[in-house]
Amino acid sequence: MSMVGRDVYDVDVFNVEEVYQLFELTKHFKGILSRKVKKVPALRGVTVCTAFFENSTRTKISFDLAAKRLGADTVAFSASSSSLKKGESLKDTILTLDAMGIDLYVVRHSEPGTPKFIKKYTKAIVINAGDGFHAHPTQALLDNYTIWEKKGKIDGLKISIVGDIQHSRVVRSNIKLMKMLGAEVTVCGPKTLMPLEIEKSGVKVSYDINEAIDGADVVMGLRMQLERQTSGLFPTLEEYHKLYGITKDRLSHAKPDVIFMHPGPMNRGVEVDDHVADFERSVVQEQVTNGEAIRMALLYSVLGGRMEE
Amino acid sequence: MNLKNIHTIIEPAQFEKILKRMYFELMEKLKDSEDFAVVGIQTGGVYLADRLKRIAFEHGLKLPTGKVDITFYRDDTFYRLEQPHVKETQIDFEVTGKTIILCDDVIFTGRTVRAAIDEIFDYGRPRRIVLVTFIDRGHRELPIQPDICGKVVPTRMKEQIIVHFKEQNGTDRVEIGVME
Amino acid sequence: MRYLIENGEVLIEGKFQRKNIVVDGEKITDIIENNPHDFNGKRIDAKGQLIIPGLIDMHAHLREPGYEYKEDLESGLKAALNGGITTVACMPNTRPSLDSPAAVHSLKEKAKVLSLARLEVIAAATKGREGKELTEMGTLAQAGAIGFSDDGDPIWDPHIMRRALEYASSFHLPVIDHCEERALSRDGSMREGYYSNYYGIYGIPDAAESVMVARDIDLANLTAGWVHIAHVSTGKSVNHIRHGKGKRGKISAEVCIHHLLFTDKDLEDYDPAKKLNPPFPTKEDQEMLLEALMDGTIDIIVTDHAPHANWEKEVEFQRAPFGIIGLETLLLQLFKLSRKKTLAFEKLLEKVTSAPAKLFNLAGRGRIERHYYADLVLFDPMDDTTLTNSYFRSKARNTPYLGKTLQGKITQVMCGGKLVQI
Repeated sequence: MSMVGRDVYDVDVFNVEEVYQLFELTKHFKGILSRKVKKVPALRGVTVCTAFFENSTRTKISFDLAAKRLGADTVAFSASSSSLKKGESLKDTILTLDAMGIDLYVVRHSEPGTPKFIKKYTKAIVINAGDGFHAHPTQALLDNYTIWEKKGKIDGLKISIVGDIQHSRVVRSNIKLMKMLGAEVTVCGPKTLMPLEIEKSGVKVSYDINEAIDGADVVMGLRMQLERQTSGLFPTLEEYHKLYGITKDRLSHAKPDVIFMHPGPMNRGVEVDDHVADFERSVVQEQVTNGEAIRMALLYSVLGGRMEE
Repeated sequence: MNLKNIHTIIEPAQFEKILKRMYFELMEKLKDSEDFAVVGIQTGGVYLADRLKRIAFEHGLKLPTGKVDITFYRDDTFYRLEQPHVKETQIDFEVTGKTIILCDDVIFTGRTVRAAIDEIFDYGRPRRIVLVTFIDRGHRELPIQPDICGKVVPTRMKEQIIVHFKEQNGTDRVEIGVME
Repeated sequence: MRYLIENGEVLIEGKFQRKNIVVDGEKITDIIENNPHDFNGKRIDAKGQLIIPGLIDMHAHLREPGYEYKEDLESGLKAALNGGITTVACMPNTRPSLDSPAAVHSLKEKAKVLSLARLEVIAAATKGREGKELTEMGTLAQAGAIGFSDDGDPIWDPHIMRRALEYASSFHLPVIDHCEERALSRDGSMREGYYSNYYGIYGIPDAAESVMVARDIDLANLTAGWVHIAHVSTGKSVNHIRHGKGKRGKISAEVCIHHLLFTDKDLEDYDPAKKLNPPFPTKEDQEMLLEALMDGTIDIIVTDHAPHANWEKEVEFQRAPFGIIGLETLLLQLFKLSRKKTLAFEKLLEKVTSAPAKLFNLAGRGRIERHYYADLVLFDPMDDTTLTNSYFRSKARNTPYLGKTLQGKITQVMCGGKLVQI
């Protein structure tokens, strides 16, 4: 199936076959990233706008580079230095950008549903780079690609995700994709940070980290934000670390070939120990490289094949 | 793509003869001091490159080879509607200063060769590029001509030429058919 | 002016019956079986139509004074008539709030002059709706207020709620509470549950409503006062109300029409026109609301008409203000509900005609009977209505039905014996 022209709000805009197609393409783009000239002219003449209304360094740079490496022109919009501060509405901002000829928006915003909102005011393709704590499809794609590359498959794997599940868009998109690809997912964290009725999403829920990590093929840690402490959701970060910190010791109960993942940036000493962050089965650095390659694959797939007006 | 009225225009024996003749022409074109490598364009060009390499080996010569997939260099990315099937690109040698012998099974509009040349240039600055094609079916849209050509076969637009290498599917032959 | 409205199916005693109605001046003077040959007045042929008493909406926000850019008395009352509503009760969250007899009086006078739909006023329960000091309920009642509320906001102090119930009951008037424990609802925009998690939207737990409902019912039973629970939206609240009725206090409740037709799942498109407080219920809670409506636990249906300017609503979902307009879609939605859930249309219509009239003691309205006001709606169930931009008389357009077509069409509206131009 052609993915040309498709907006990417979350991972479920793809079917399983298409996900694997993206994975195959990603392999090729990873190859290009290891060349001296890390560039192909496939998307020459296309304008990609990274519209980040929420702070981010890694995802923004990753998308910007991905577009440039495909030969596209990029435009970066950042909320802090824009007329949004002067009170211009999001609707007017998009209409203005659109009038300058954008072919694709990569959007990150603190409000869920923003990509769909933006689509009301533009005909360009919209890719969600994170909307509130709703979804982050490219993170889920790169996470699953990493697992697929390391383990050879995803179907039947036991994956455990530990941390602030309530506020994580990475978890939500990952749960959807992992279930689509046949993995068994366990989420673990304090009850105050666990969404109501999350078992209805088809995941196992555990409040005990040892139970959750036991026999896991993949362990993913999530960033624990310091603000949670003050809003009555959790007493202290120290207690969090004692109960839910991922340590080398706890990881030893997972399968011997377990891999450790984290979307970054990591809070060493809070959700993860130094030892784990640096240990040989941690694939955190590769996630970043894979992120770039899969974003290239995604941009290439949705932008190619437009008929010229 | 469905083809009707398929018939063979080059049989295995003639095929082999053409290949040998191309090889000797190539050797004549290359001077002694030249540092060269053969690069095949996916997919047909890769088989051609391999065959030339085999013939060279029979004559005691080791030809370094590479391959390029031009999917990301095509000039029709925006007109494509199906998912691309990307194959391997492998250039393990230094391109700068080398003579690149670029191979493809059929040359038609010339766009594929143009894309391949662009891709090779992203790897470095070749000394020169020598273009080797097995069949030239005419209808060029760019000013690109093979330096060495196996056979010129004039065709109509709705016809299609398929070059079969025995490594690929059993027998060496060239077929022509009409597209439905 | 005399009218004979003949050949229609008239809603009388909870059933549609083929009758003819004689209107003289403001009132219905006769209900007859035959079609008299000569009649001194205008004849209206209502063949194929249903004739319903003018609807009564006990919960609407007309935004005057202070927010006239969203809606004002004129556009609001015109909108009401456009939707077949001949009596509207407006809430006091205006600027300044309707907490003084002068404010109530001037609003009622203006409505009289406009001579559109009838206006009833719900005055503020506390001064400035701040929740600290009671308003002059006695004088407000004299000025025409039919109830007291801080709606938009809950009466957050339980002591004040107790005193309000006690004081208001001396005038036989209700305290209408918007039950929402803000410490629980916090920054939520939809009902907390599976879907709020799925859509990544902060949720409002159902307990935010029900804990205050429980509080108010216990206080009403303590004081023998009358509490009317505004826009009930959860199963937990329904249970409290069911168990609290029939004791010392008088407990009544209303449900908003949108809560009977939409659920939390419907927010998947993040459309701010669907953002409402309290938010759309879960499917299970919706079933309980319908059951409660049918067994009398919930007494009436309202719109909670909440107009906002387009530029206020066309923003990111969580940043948009709460509210959906409803005056012009109430009857069409009731018709839709009756077909969707196979509930008797007549029974649903009771909840917006005879039931509110009885509950709030609204004289001469809510029924088609001799000596009652000639407030009537002629409704063609076979035609349909497309809710284009130009259909609306309200200043606002914040409804999920904008641009959609609904089954049924209001063909005539009569208020106080006068035909309304629609």
